[in-house]
Amino acid sequence: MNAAPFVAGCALALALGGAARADSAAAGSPPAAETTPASLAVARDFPAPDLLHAQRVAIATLQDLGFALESADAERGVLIASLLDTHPLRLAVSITAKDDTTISASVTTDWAGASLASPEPVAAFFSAYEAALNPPPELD
Amino acid sequence: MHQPRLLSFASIAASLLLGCAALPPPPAALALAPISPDERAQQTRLYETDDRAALLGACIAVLRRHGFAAEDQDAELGVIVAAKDATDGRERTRLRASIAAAPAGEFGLETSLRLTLQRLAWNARGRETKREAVREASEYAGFFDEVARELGAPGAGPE
Repeated sequence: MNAAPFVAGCALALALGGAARADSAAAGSPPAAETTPASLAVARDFPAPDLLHAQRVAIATLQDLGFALESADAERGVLIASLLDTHPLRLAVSITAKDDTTISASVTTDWAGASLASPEPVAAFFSAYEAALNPPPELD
Repeated sequence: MHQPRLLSFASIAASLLLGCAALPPPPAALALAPISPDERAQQTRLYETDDRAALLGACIAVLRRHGFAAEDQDAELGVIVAAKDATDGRERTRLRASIAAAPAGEFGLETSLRLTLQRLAWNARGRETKREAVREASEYAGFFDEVARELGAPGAGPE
C-alpha cells in the first residue's frame, strides 16, 4: 500500500495546527497545559461553621482573583465565575456543609468550554480561599 | 484502488478536526493572581444600611434604567448578574455587570457592594473575540452614586 497520501494528509493538518499555535505564540501566549474531556472536580474540606458566610467568602475570593460572577445559587451552593480579562477560563465552585463545623469546597475548571485538568487554578483558588476564611487578626 | 485516496481524505479530515479544537491554555492564564488593591477599591462601595434587599432592589432599578436585563439573581447571597446585549455589524457584544452585596462593619450594619463590569464579544460564528474588564473608574463611581440616590441615602465611599 502506498502510504504517501496518508503522510501528506497528516503533514498538511499538522502544518495547519502548527500555524494556529504559531499565531498564539506570536500573540504572547505560548501553549502549555492540556485540556481533557473528563470533568475533574477537586475537593477540599475547610473548618467553617457558617455555610452562608463560607459561600460569601468564596464569592469575594473569586472576585479578588479577577473573576466575574456568572451565576450563584445559595441553596445548591454553586458559584460559577469566569475570568474578567483575556482568557476564557471558568471556575465552578461548590460550597456545601459537610457537618456543623466543616464545609466542603469542590472546584472544576474549564477552558473555552472544555474541561481542564491543570491543577494551577484550583490550587490558587484553594490557597486564596483558605486565607480569606482565616484572615489574620487586625492590629490595633 | 481508491483506498489510498480515501485514507488521505480521512486523515486530513481527522487532523483538521483536531486542529480546530480549542488551543491549550497558555501557562500565564492559569497562574491566577490577586487583583490590585486599587482595582478592588474601585469595584467596591460601602453603604450605611443593613437592608440588603432594598440595596439590591436599587441596583436592579439602576441596571434596568441603563438597559440591562437580569441573567441571574440570588437574594440570599446578594448576587445579581445582568447583561446588556448589542449587535455591531456581524459582531455580537455584551456588557455584563456582576454584583455581590455582603454584610460589612463590626455588627454587619453596613453593606459592601462589589461590582465588576466586563465587555464580551462574539463573531458571526459564535467564537468569542473579546473579553475585557471595564476599568474606567467613572463607570463604577457613577453606578454606585446612582444606587445611593435610588436608596435615598449616600454611600459611604470606597471600602
